[in-house]
Amino acid sequence: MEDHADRQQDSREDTMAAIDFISSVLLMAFSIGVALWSLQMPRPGGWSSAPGLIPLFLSTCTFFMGLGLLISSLRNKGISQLVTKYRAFSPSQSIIDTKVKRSLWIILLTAFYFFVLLGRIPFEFASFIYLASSLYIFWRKGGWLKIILISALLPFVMSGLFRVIFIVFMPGDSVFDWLVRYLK
Amino acid sequence: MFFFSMAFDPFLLLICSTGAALGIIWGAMPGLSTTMAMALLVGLSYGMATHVAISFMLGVFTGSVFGGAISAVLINIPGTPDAVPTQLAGFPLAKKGQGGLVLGTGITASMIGNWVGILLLVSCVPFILDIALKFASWEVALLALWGVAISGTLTAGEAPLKGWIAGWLGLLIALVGREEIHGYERFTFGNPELLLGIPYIPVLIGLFGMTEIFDAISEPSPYVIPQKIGRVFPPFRMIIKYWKSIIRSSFVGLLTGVIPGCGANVATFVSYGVGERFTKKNFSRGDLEGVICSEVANNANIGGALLPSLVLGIPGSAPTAAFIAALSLHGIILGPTIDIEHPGLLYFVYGGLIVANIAMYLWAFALIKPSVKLFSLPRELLLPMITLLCVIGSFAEKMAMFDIYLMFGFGLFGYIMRKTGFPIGPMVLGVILGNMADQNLRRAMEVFKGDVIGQILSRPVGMILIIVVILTFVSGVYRKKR
Repeated sequence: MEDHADRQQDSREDTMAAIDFISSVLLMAFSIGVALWSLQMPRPGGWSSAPGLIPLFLSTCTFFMGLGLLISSLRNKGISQLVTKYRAFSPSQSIIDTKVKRSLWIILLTAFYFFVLLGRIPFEFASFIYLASSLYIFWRKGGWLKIILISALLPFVMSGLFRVIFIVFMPGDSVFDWLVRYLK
Repeated sequence: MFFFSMAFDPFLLLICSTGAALGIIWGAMPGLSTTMAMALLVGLSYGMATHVAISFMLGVFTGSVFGGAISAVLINIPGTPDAVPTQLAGFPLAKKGQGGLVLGTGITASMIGNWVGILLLVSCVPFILDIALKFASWEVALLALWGVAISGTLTAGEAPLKGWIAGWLGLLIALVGREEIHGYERFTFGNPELLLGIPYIPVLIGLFGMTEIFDAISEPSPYVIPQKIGRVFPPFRMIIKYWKSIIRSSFVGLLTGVIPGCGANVATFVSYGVGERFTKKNFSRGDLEGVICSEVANNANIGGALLPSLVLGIPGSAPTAAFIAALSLHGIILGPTIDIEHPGLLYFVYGGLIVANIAMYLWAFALIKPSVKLFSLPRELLLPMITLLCVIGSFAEKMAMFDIYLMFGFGLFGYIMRKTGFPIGPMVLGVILGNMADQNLRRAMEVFKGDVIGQILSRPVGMILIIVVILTFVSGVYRKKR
């Protein structure tokens, strides 16, 4: 049992060393980009109040921190771990993995809700579609009736509470806004 | 005494208590911050009588400061940015079924913090203002950098380097937009939505809220917060045991409140970090003392932030700026002549704070049970519902769809950060404090022009802060080696 836990811990550390290697390279490239950009910014009142002063300072610090991460990753054999992980990686296997599949579903559903539905149709309807589909995928044991009821009622309760009591607007439009316009 | 007792008028008691209850509920919702609540109230309070407006605003202020802890402890999504340390220390305990006790301890700590803030507000005005006035641009910038550095050290466990990287990236993100000294556009890529910078509310909701939603739902069997509440009132002996942490955190909260621009965000992180140092404990594994450090500082900060607002007319934090604005709508200009122009107003505010504190305490205990019941719903059901709140929270401040897109982007980024071992907390603090650090550092450099080293060496408070910042980095490196 203890051996298994130790092996898991070792595997996690190996993966982290490989991830740290990639992160550090990206970070150093990013900080060089920011530093170069900062140097090109104008200096209307001299260097002391230049808009690029603080970005330059922060990106230089970030570069050295990235370097520190790179050194630590190299010490933990980050490159060889990366090569091993790359050779063992199978995209088809990853997609089958339940965790990856669930992550992809929730991210795609949320993206669809934010970028396609919200702002185009009233908040309550957009939220109904999002809630009903996400509860259907992830909360099967709830049953159809509960899912439909929750998905239909909750957005109305929320938008009513925020729109009427807290006077906070909903993205897009709200059924309550329609109601106000109709009553006028 | 008459003005002090006016705050205890039954009608004003009701108003203040309603404000505290609404504040708690508001603060418990992800992204709906104290600042936003106070800002919304500026317009709403215009139609109220002055004393009613003050009572209501103090109730909402006190309630929402605590409210952030509820969702932080029970769903791992802090309602307000300053609840992040409470989340770190409280959520692991809530997972073990001690959510009720954690919240009960948090409420008691909040009340103690409030009392200390009020008492010190009344008694130490000249002394605290004297210390606070020693903080000029240079010291405020160093304080902001220290806040980010200490949160990096605290949240990254054995890899403080990753915490500092996250914090520094947060500081860089805060620099996007038109800077305020020369009006130059930095890193906007010609996008007009970015001209005003990246707002911290969508960043906070994205990094904490959306990340938690993506992460918890991706688990085939997500964790559950046990429904059994168990003990709620913390044992009196336990509170007494932590008296040193309470006193220390009160002073940290009060002092950071008094310094203009340093809100409860800095107070809670610094208090939490200093608490870990003194007690030699790792609060992030779940520790009630960590919750006490964070909540006491958070609430002592209210009294502290009101101090310069009332006496000097300088807001100690963003919510107090809204408070000043609301009062100015009623023709009250806060400042050194406040006691001459509006005699008794200060005493009314002291009384109002006491009422708000008691109301917050009673309401918060009353709301523990329903909160635990609500937040112990299966994650697969609860988190999609929380998404709706995240949307409203992000949209409410500027009513811009772009903020919702930002929240989504930061949610994905936070998810990647979590998977790659980078802590999220320092990045949020970096985004909040970035502009403060930038403006104050450049202002200081402009003042120091010609003799930078000499000026730095001649400022004792600044020198102490430099040493503290260096020690924070050194101790992080030392901890990693150990």
